[in-house]
Amino acid sequence: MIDIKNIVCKYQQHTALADVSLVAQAGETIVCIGPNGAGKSTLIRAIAGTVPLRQGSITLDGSDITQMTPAIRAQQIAVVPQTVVMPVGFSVREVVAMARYAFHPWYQRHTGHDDQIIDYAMTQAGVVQFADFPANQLSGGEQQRVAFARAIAQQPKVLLLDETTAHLDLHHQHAIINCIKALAQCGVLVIAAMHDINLAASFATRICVLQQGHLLADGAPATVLTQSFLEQVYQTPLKVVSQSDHPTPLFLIQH
Amino acid sequence: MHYAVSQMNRLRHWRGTVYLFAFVLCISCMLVAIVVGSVAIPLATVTTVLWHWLRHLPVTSVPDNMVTIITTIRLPRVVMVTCAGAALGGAGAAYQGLFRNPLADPYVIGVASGAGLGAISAVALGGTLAFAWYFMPLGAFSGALVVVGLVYLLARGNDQYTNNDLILAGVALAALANALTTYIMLHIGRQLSQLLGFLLGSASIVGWDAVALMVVSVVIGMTMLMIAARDLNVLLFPEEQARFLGINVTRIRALVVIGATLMTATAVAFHGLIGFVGIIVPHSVRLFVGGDHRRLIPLSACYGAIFLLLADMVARTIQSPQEIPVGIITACCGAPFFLWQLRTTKKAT
Repeated sequence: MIDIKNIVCKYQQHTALADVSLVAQAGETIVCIGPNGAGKSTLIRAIAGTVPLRQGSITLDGSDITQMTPAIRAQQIAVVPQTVVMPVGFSVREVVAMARYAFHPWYQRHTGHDDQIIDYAMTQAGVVQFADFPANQLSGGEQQRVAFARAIAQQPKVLLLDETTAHLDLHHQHAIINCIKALAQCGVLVIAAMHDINLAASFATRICVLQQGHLLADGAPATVLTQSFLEQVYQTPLKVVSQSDHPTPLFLIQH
Repeated sequence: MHYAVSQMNRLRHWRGTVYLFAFVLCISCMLVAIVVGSVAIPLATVTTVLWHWLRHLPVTSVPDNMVTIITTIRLPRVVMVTCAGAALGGAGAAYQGLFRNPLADPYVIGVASGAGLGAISAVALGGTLAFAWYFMPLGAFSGALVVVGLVYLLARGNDQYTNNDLILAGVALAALANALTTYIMLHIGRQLSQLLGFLLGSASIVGWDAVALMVVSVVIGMTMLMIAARDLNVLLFPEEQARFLGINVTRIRALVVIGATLMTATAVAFHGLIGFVGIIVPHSVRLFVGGDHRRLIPLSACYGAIFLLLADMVARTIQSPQEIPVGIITACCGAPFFLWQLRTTKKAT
C-alpha cells in the first residue's frame, strides 16, 4: 500500500533521513522508535508530504504522494501532530469539522454524512461530551484528543501519529491505543513515532528502529526488541522484566 | 466557561437572524446618515427621493435643491462611507486570521500608511488632485501591497499564535511610510490642508465615479475573502498542520492578501487613513459569533460599515457646521480599545 523507496531528507546540510526504504500494507500498525533526532518525525512528515524528498520516492497505492494535490492527499493521509494549540473562538465540533474541508470545494456546505463522520470521530476519541465547548479552553490532553478526532474524521487510509500519546494520562492513552487497534482492524495503516518502547511493544505489529537517519531494524516486536540491541541504540544500560501474558518483555532503565 | 458553551449552542439556531439584524441595522444607519447633516431632511422626504431616484423617475413633491442635496451630496457620501467601513472591517478580520494575531488591523500593521504613501505619491506625480483621483487607488494599492509583503516577511519567522513582532514591524514601516508621505506633501507644497484632511480621513466631497470604483473593489475584495474564508480557519493552526488538512496554503494566503489589501487601499485612497475600525469591529463580532471566518468576515464588514457611518455622523455634527476628519473619531474610540487588547493578549500568553 505505501511504498517508501530509498528516501533522503535534509534540513539545510543536516541529513535527517538517509536512504530509508519501507513497504507497509493496510491494517498494519508500525511504530518507529529511536533516540532524539533519529528522524522519526521527519519520516512521518515525509509520508504526509510536507518535507521535500532529496532522493527516492513515496507512493500510496501506486501514486506518488508528492504529485498529489494537498486536498487529495488529505483525503487519504491524516496526521496527528505532536502538539496542537487550538485557536480562539472555535468549538470542538468546528475544529473536528475542519477535517472535512478537503472533501468539498469552498462553496459547498458539509452534508449530513459529514456530520455523522464528525460525531463518530468525536465519540471514538472521547471528546463528544465537549462537542460545543470552546476548544481552546480544554486541557492539553483534551486538545490532543480533539486533534486525534480531527484526524479520524478525515477517514484516512493512512493515519500518522507523531508522539501523540506523550501528553495523555493512562486512561486516555489506553483509550487511544484501543481506538488505533480498532482502526487497524478496519484496514487503516497506522504509522506512529513514539518514545515509549513498552507502549509501542504493546500494540505494534511491526517496530522500526531509526538512528541518525538510518533504518537499523524492521520487524515484529519480539524479534526487534532485544536487550543488547536496544542498549546499543540508546547507549543506556537496560533492565528486562519478562511478562507472562505478552511475548515482549518490559524494558526499564538500569539505574 | 459554561456560559460560553451555552452561548455557542444558542447561536447555532440564530445564525440567519444574526445576518438579517446586521443588514437591517446597516440600512437603517445609512438612512439616518442621509437624514442627519447641516440641514436635517425628514426621513419621509429621503425615502421618497430615494425610491424615485432608484426607478429613474422625476420627483415632483420635493423641492429641487433637496433632491440635489440627497442624490449628489449625501447619498454618494453615505455609500462611500458604508463601503469604506465594510472594507476596513472585512480586511481587519481577514488580516487577523492571516497573521494569527488578534491585533492585526490595516492601520496597525502599516498597510494603511503604505496605501497613504502610494496615494500621495500618485498625487505628486499626477499633477492636480482632481486628475489624480484615477491614479490614487492604483498608487495606494501598490504602496499597501509593498508594506503587507514586508510585514509578512519580517514577522514570518515567529510561528506563535500571538506575536508582537508583527505589530513592531508594522509600527516601524508605518513610521517610515508616514515620514515619506510628509516629505512628499511638503515638497509639492500645494493643497496642503486638503491633503492633510485626506490623510486624517474624510469623505466630504465624492463623485459617483469614485463611489463606483469603491463599490467594485469592495465587491471584488469581499468575493476573494469569502472564497478563502473557510480555509482561513485552518490557517489559524501552524502552516504544516494546515497542509496536513489539505489546504493549499499559498493559494489561500494570496487570496487573502490581495483581497484585503485591495479593499484597504481603495478605502484609504478615497476616504483617507482611518484607524482601528479593523480591530474594534472584528474583535467585538468574534465575541458573539465565534472565530469561523465564513461568519466573521461578512459580519465584520457589515458592522464595520455601521461603525464608520456612526463615526462619520459624529464627525459631521459635533462641530457643525464645521466638519472634523472621521479618523479622529475612530482613533479616539480605537486607541484605548487597542491598548486594552494589548494588555489582555499579553496576559494570555
